[in-house]
Amino acid sequence: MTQGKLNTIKLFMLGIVVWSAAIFISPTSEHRAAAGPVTQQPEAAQANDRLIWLDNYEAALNEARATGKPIFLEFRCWP
Amino acid sequence: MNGRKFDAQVVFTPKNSPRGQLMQQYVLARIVNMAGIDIGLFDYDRHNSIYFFVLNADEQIYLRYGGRDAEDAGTYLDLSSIELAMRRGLKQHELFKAGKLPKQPHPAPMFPQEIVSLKREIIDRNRCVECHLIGDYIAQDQEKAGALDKIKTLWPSPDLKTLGIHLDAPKGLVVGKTEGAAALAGMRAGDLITAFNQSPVLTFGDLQYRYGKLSRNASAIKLTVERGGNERTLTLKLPIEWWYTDTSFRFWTVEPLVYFTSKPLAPDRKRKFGFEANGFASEVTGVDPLGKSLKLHTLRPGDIIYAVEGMATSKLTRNIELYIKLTTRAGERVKLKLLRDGRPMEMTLKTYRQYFRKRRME
Repeated sequence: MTQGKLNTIKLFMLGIVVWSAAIFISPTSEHRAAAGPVTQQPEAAQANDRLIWLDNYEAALNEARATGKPIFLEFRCWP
Repeated sequence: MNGRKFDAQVVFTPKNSPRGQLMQQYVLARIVNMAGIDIGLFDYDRHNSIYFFVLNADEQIYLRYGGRDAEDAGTYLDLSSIELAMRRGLKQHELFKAGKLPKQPHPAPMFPQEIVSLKREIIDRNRCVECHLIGDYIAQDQEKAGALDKIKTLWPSPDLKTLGIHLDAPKGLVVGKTEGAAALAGMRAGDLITAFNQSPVLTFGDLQYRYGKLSRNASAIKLTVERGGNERTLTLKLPIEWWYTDTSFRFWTVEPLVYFTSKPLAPDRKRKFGFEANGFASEVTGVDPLGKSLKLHTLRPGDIIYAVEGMATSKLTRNIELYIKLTTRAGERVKLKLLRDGRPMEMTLKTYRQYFRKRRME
């Protein structure tokens, strides 16, 4: 086997290791929810079909006043 | 359902799913730190790590969702029942806007920073004000001040199953099975519970909250149920110790510690010794060696304790250890009357504080 091929295989193996580690370390959506705030910018939520959750009670009251909607309020003990 | 999983499934509900469309009719808020929150308004058993309220911009609370039993934090968490609660919340909102719901008085505001020990230990150190810390530090401050109502504070959420009510959890307040006091009162599987002592309840959270607020001296409750389109009110006689639940999932141990275990005598043995049928005559089944080494008492297995400070019976409990825990402050001494090998004798038992909130309290 030539040195060039060996390097290619090494690079490929390294890529697999890095990719696996990234998958392993990256939290699942459930873990993220359990870990704390999930508030995001409205545009981002729109873009990925996710609901908008506020993490500030006063902001929720203001939003409810502005929209006439009731508030669905969750208290989630960390974590 | 497991609380973390439930939380994630609710929070990450796809916007265009049926539940997501329901949720879009609300302003959604998720609070993970209780600092700055009016805990007077949002009053609930703080050992629920997940709890929901539906309210409006005037802070009128329509309903609560959450609650647990001692066995599992997720017994009553269910995606079907939370959808049901959301629908009911929207209906309440429409009624409120139409002026058809009476306005509730706003409870006296209270904020976490008003709890002296919580402020000192958590807030001033910039730590997260977790829900359970509120309950723990309130209890701790009350205990230090000698003002702790143990039964109400340390057993804040009585279990409906003690009354023989087993809910069909996905269906909210629909009864799945009955036994005991509930069956005797005429409650049946399929009944929908609609009111507790004449106050409307829309969810299990509402029901458990109201049940938890009941005076511990109460002897009966009224539950209104809907059956076949008709409402009827049933009177349930409360069993002794109806408020008692296993507290091991909580962050506290009920003080004082007594360093013995006992078992109430069977009715025939009570009769044989001439003790009251409802009395708390109990046989000592075990003695913690620490009690002996600390010279707290000289009880032996087989001793029969039949009175504490001259009291042989209590409306609250027939459990002698529990009676001592409820009526004595840690460190106090109590006089026991007992039978040892059939002969009457008296003994002083010194109670002891080991820890509170699972650590020693200064």
